[in-house]
Parts: sequence; structure tokens; C-alpha cells
Amino acid sequence: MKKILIAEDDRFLANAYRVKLEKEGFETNIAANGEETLKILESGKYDLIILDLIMPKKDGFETLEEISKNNDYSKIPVIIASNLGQQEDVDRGMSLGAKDYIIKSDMSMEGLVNKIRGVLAGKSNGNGVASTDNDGSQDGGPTPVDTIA
Amino acid sequence: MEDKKTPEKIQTLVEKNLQESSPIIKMARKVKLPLRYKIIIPATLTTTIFGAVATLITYMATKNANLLSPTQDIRVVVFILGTAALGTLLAISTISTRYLKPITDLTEAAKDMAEKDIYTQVNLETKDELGEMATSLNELVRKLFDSRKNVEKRVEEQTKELEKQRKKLEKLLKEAENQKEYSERAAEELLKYKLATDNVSELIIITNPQGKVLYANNAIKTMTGFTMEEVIGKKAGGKELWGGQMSNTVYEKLWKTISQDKKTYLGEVENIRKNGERYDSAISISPVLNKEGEIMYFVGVERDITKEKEIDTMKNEFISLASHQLRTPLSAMKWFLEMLLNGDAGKLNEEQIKFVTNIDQSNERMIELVSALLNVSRIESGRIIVEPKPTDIRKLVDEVVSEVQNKVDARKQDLQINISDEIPEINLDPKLIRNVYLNLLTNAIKYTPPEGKITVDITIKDEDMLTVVKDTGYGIPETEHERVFQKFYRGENVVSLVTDGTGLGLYLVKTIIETAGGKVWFESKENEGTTFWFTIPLSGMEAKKGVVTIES
Repeated sequence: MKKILIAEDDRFLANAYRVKLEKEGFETNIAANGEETLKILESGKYDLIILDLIMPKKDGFETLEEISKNNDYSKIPVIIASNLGQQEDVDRGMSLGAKDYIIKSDMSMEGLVNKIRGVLAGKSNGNGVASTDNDGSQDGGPTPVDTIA
Repeated sequence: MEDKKTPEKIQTLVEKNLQESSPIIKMARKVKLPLRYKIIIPATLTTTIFGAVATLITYMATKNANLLSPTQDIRVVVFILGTAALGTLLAISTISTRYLKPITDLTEAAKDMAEKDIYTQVNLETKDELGEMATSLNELVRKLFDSRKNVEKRVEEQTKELEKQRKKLEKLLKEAENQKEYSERAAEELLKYKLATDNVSELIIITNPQGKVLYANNAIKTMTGFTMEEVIGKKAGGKELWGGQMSNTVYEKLWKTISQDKKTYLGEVENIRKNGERYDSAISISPVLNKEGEIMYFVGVERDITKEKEIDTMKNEFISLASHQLRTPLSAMKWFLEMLLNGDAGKLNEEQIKFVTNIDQSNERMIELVSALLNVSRIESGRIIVEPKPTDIRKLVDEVVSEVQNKVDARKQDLQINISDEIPEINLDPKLIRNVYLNLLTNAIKYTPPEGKITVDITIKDEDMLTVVKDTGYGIPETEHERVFQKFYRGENVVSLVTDGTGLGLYLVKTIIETAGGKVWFESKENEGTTFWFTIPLSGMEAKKGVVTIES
């Protein structure tokens, strides 16, 4: 079973992750901030990190930087899941070594799960643009009737 | 040194005729003989006559007497000689007085001329030396008179001439006076402008056509730290002074705009003060041309916008943060609703599905609204980054179409795309233009009933790429045409039919197109359909160093 570390300070979102991912057959752990993330990484072995950017006590960027410099965990793939949508945020995140960058409010859970599976299989975001449900890179989640994004 | 006396103007020649009462002398004058004969002959005659008379008298007296005694002889001789001598004396004195009177007149005339400036013509009518002398003197006098007259005439003319000149000079002087007054007033006016220019808070500099500073107003010290003396003669915008912090491309473009294109350059640059402090500056540099269109000066105006930029940065950071904060709960709702609908918490009955779907849709609308609001907020701050790159319109439109294709299919609409082959790659920001096509196409699909028709035609018109998006949909009521591009505008005729829509799409479209240097307009009739046109210059979009990007 693959182990996923979820770094997310909003507990509702963290819950949503946990419920869905465990249903999909993953083992999960939750860190509420950057510091906790690094601490948890030390004490366990993880196959994937889902990283929020805006967190208290060390934000996602800083955390990612430290991860990339660390010999032990720099190999662990990171998917940035944030609601910051500026291109410069995406660029910064990708340049720090993230495998993909998704915008939570634009991505369905199903889409997210597909991304996770993809990254675990070795894929990564090649076009430098944040992934959303509508970018055609994979099947989008259930689209409610008659809503246009 | 002035004349002691100014000669009076000579009036005229004076004629002097001699009065002579004695007819004998009159006659004698008319006789042409040298003067000495005129004297000798009458004198001799008179002597002879007197002598003869005396002799006669003696004869008569001594007729009856005998031969005269020697003493009587002497008395007789003395008597005769005496009488003759008396006669001669009388004659000569009379003659000389009379004859020689003219000499006095002549002398007087000459004196008058020499001393009193009176020119006399003495008419003697004597035909002798005196007459000749009179004639000569008269001539001399006449000549002198004429000459004087000439001189006087010339002097008069010259005086007249001088008077004319003087009048001219007077006029010129008056004009010069007026000019001086005018100049003084102009100088006063100029002083006003100079004071104004000197003291505005913006930095104003004037350079020669080579860019060397000729003038800087008082703001130079506060803005750049340099004094006016320190900058005069140096090249404006260079490292030596307060510029040179941007890349060469910026300065090259600046120079080209103002000196080759001879147009005003507007831009934002980062400059550096004398003490090393960097600051942001909004600059405007304009060429000043003379009548022949040659550049005489450049005028540069600079405004320190560091504060503005700080506020902007704060605003953008706020926007960023707000987007995150607003979206977080929305994301949580989105995901839990997804799981609910998916049955992950148990199978839902029909009614439950309906309720949850409603919530889910509302949530999606909220997410959309937040996104649109954020884009609008970024655009309004005027700080969108524009990153043009050569873009294939065909590819861009195809991507947009594939995004909306499922909607088109679901509504069984007929969507046709016609893109002219002639359209080259255009330098534009694909993110922004994609947003434009997406918005217009989405609107067309949304506001056209099922089985309606939508066409997109892209061609070249003059210097622009022209896009036409036409639908056979609900149209926009005439009364609302004015508001179409306003924020949050939604057509009153469709708001209940098509529940979702932010009302921000067209506002974004308009802003983006206008930033790209193009135009957007439309025609619409209620229940017949709507057509939107927009142009983008083939020359492309200009890069803009902004701070935010819009989100798709």
C-alpha cells in the first residue's frame, strides 16, 4: 500500500483527502503545517507528498525547498495542491522540483486521484501550467449539468 | 564747437543804381574811354578854356595900353596861369569827385558783401575802367551770390533729408520701444511658466537631440539626489546619472520611439538615486519638433511611483491571499459534495441526489465567481503581465473548442470554425487571448437554445486579425446594449433561463482586447441572435511588465 503524506492546514480539506484516498486504497497521514510535515517525514517512509502552499509555521515553498535539499526525501514525488493560481506561483513550485501543481477549487477528487496514480507511475506535468479538470490532460471529474467553467 | 554766428540767409541781390543829376556827367559816362582820358581831356579843355578866357580878358583890358611893362607882363602871366590853374583844379576836383564816386559805391558794395553779407550789383553804366571794374565786381558778387544760394539750397535739401531720416529713426525707436515692452511682458509670462515648471513635484528635464541634459527643474534634487549643475551636459537616462538600471532592450526601444518614430514614449522604469537607493518611476518622454519636423529637444517627465507600486504590490498580495482564503472552504465543499454524489457515504435516493446536485451547482458557481472576481480585480489594477509569444491562432482556437465541445454536443448545437489560411503567427499572450475566445464561445453556447447554430470566422482585415463569433441565440435587448460590457451585466431576458454566469466575462474580454490594441463590438437582436466582432493588430501585443496573470 502506498503511503501519502498530506500537508494541509484546513481540517475540512484534510478530512476530504483522507476519506477519499483511503477509500482508493492509500495509507494517509496529515501534517497541519510545514514544520510538522518535515518532522513526520523523518519518522516514516512515504511514497508521495501532497503539499499545500499557504500554511502556518513554514509555508509550502520553504518546506519544498528543504525537502529538495534533503538527501533522504528529495526523491519523494511532490504534488502541490493549492488555491493560489498565479503563474509565478506555479513556476516557483515547479522549479523547486514539484511533479505537478493543481488548483484545488478547479480539480475534482477523481481527477486528483488520477493525477496521484499518474505521478506514482512516474508521470509529471510537462507544460508548466497548473492542472485543472478542464485542461484535457486527463478525464475530468463529474461535471454538474449545464455549468460552464 | 558752435558757430559764433549763424549766417542769415541771404535774401536777394540788391540793385544799386547811381543817382546822377548832371546831364553832362551822364553823357560823359556813356562815352567809352579809359578813365584817364576822361579826366585829362575835360581837365585840359577846362584849363584851356579858362586860360583862353583869362587871356581874352587880359587882352581886352590891355588893348589900349602900350606894350606891357615887364611887371605887368608877369601879372598878366600869373593871372592867366592862375585862372587856368583854378580852372584845372575846379575841373579835376569836380571830375574826380563825380567820376570817382563810383569807387566809393564799389568799395561799399565789396565791404557789404564781405562784412555784412549783402550782395550788391552796382550798375555804373560807365564805359571805362571803373565800368569794367564794376562789371567784374558785379560778376564776382553775382557768382558769390549764386554760390551762396547753391550752398543754401543744398543745405536746405540736406536738412530736409536729415529731417526725413530723423523721422524714420524716431519711428524705429518707437518700434524698438514697443518691442522692448512686448519682450518684457513676454519675459514675465515666460517667468510664470518657468516658475510653474521649476516647482511641480514631477521631475521635468529638457535635453538636446543627443539626450544631453539642458535643463532640470527643482524636483531633480528630491527625486534623484543630483543637483541641476551636476546633471547638465550629461546624458539623461544613463548609468552616470539616475538611470541605466533596465535592460538594453528597454532603452533601445525608448530611443527608437522618440528619435526615429518621433513619438512620445510612456513607460515605467526602475531608476537609482545618487545615494544608491532604487525607486520606481513612471516616465514620459516626448520629442519637440520644429516646423520642418526635425527634433529640437526632448522633454522628459518623471513621476516617482514607488508608493503606488507598493500599494499595488500590497493589493496583489491581498488578492492572492483572498483567493486562497475564499477558495479553501469552497474546495472542501466541492470535494465532499463529489463524494456524496458518488455514493461514497452511501447510496442516495432520487430526492437526495436532486438536493445535493443543487448544492453542488451553487458551489461551482461560487467558485467561478471567485475566479472571475479575482481576474477582474487584477485587470483593474492595470498590472496584468502581458507575455506575447508567436502564437498559432488555429491551435489556440482548437484547444478552446475541445474544451467546450462536450457542451456543444450535449446541446446538439452546430459549431463551425473557419480560420483563414493567410493568418500568420501573431505575437500575443496566449493565456489572455484564450480567455477571450473561451468567454465568447461559452456565451454563444450558453445563450443559444439547443440545436442552434454558432460560427466562428477568423480572417485578415487591413492590419488586423478579425474574429467574428455569431450565434442564433436569445440575443440582447436593445435597451441593454449600452451595458453589455459592464461588470456583472447579465441580460435580463436570459437570467432566468441560464442561471449561471458571472456577468464578468465580457468585461474581461473588452479589457483584454483593448490591452492588445484591438477593438470589440457587437450587434444583437432579441430572439434572433448575437454577433461579436473583435480585432487584434497583426503586429501583435506589446509586452507588459506587470505583476499578476489572469487565471483561465
